[in-house]
Amino acid sequence: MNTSNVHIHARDITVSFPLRRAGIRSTGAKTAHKALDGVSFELAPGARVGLLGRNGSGKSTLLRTLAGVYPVTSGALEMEGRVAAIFNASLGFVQEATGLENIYLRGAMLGLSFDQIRELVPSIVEFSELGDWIREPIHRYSSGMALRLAFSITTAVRSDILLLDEWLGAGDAAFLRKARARMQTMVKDASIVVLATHNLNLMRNQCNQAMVLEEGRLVFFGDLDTAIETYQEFRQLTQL
Amino acid sequence: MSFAWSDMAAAFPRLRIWAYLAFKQIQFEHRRSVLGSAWIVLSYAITAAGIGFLMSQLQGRPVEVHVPHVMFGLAIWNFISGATIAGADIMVTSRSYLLQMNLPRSLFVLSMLLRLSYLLGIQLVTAFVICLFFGWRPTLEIVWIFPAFAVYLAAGFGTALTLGMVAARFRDISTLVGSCMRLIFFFTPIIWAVGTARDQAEGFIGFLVRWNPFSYVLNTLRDGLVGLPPDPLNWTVTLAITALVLFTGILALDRMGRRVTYWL
Repeated sequence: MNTSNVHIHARDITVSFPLRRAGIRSTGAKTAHKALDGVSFELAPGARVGLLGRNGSGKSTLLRTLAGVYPVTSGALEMEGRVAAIFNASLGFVQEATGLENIYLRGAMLGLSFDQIRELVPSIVEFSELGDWIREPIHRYSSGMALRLAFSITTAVRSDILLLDEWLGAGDAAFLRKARARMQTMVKDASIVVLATHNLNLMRNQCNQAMVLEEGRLVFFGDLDTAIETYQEFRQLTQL
Repeated sequence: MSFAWSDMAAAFPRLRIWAYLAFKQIQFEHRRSVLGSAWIVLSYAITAAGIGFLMSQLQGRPVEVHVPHVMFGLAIWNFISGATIAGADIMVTSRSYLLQMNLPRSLFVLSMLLRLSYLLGIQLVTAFVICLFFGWRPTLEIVWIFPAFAVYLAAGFGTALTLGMVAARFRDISTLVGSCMRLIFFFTPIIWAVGTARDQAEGFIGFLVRWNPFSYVLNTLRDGLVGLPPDPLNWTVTLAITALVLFTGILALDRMGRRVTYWL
């Protein structure tokens, strides 16, 4: 994929979920919840966007919409480039399956083909530092080992557009350093990165612009400092 | 119909990895037990042969006729009810995948059908061995099981798509389907039989055999295994049902497939 073509163009996108009501008769109550409400923005190659917002402000919905999980209810979303999304690093392994089998399981979940996964296996096993343990079922693993494997699989994928929901931390101090370095390469290799996090230091390190979401609306899109100020104002509003 | 076609076109290139996963899934289910995957063969062999023998005595039918009738019938029923019940749940059980990636919806249906096909294969081979012991012999009519199975796959695909989409929106459907299938099991000549000629059956049983669509579908595959020639009526009814569910399935995929993640 030619990097220069990679872009995201969102025009007035709205995502509204149907609300389930008890009972069959219509009560005239609100029947849909707007998780995203008229959001517009343009992202070009080189964009490192931090996504800020309180819980329930629509961060995850926006990321999932960009990943193609949720179709837009109205508006237009135009995207070019290979998308990789990491929403849930701790998503359950199959406990009865071996580490190796779980690599295939998770690779499939990340949208990879059989051959693509097979190519990635040696590097995943090596990075996870699991050695012969890779042929043992996951239920024998310590939690640190499982976390190391999860991280190694999810970050083995390369893409043009990288969508991350919270930064991933894994294992002991030595592995953590290695993991941080790998995340940085991953972010560097991708053309566009959208990262949702509550960790402001991390965002300052990794991002060059930020969006603030509030009740599904994009209330700010621009430089980091103003974004963080705006976000903190909204956060204080609820604390009062 | 554009969404439905592009969904199905995107599903097939990914089929290899999901076929592997479907196969592995069967192993995982039994891995921690001592006998492991052998339980798939054992639990089927014990119940099917046991029920077959019991029912042959109850109905006064010769074991070499009734044991194959029941054993093949149960294996086939496991596929039919599996495709229907798991099909109704398919979008809901695939939730964690569908919320992670934009994956084709029909992929999950195909993967589920593959898993059921593996199980059907294992159970049919088990039935062959046990039925040979009871005096059953395969005949040339057995070749008809291949086209019949192809029709089953198409019917299962349509059924699972139809029910899966509707049940993702209206969750009561899957419970309803489960209850219905349990009842239909008893209302279909799987473990019991009425003799070869349909006209012989009278009263309520006759009504069941004539008007229960599942008996036609089941017999379409079982006839070849128990040495009966293909019955035009069985095939006509089965093909008509298949065409109908394929149509509703593709329609449901097209109309609801894109938005199905909203309801998960």
